[in-house]
Amino acid sequence: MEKGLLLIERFIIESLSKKDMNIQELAIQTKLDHGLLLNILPNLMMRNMIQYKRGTYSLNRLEGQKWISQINKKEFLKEEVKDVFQSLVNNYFKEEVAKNSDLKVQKIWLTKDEELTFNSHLKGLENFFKNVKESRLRKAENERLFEQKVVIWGHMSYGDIVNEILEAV
Amino acid sequence: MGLQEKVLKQYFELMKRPTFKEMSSDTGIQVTRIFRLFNKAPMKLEEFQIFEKRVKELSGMSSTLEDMAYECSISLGAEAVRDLESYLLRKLELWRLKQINTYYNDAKQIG
Repeated sequence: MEKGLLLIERFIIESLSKKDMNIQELAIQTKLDHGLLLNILPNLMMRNMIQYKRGTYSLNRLEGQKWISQINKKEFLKEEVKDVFQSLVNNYFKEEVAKNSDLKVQKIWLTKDEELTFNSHLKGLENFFKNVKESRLRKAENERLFEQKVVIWGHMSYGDIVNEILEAV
Repeated sequence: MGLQEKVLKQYFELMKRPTFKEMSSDTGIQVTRIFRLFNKAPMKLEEFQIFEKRVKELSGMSSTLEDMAYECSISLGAEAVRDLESYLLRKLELWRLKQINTYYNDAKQIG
């Protein structure tokens, strides 16, 4: 049966896409428990996504085309994005945990001019992220994957949101 | 992990890591018997039902997940059912990956 990735599996795949690593390095990159890593890694090996040689895990780049296009299929990505949303929302509304996340929802009616301004802010944000990514390619920072920020943004008309919810039952 | 281990783990977490004595007064099962159950002695059906009932009460479930799943499967559209299936499946896969760590760590702490 075809299947996508759990977010936690993609987390590991992304770590290994930076460089080959042993289990200790993977634990530092992901801040995941050794035991948990040892449960997940064999699954990824069985799916021919990663290899293990002399204590080091690496991506199976030879068969990359096959499994990358498989895990990036629209229906599988949709499930992963839903997991990201859900985690963000759950974390934001948790009372007992100190807030390390932010979530803003605005409902606003925009004129044509305001919509243009809004779109230009979005474009500015996208350019900012693009520039940050490019600068990392030129000068790599000693960053660990678990420290990366996940930023989500998007918009839709209120009516379309309601209609989609009504259609989804 | 078998049904017995699952229900004990759920109960243990929902009760916020109780002592054997607290579990005994909550369930009406003798302390020594609780100790044995947590050390993998096979559970009797009525003991399983007591733990299962408490898990449902503690999680605030008014109807069982099974009942709700059945109602969804006969009432909702195909896409909505697929959405729910996919959501449950992903939860389950993640839970399976976490098992070898958590259950035995918990068992070590209470044993």
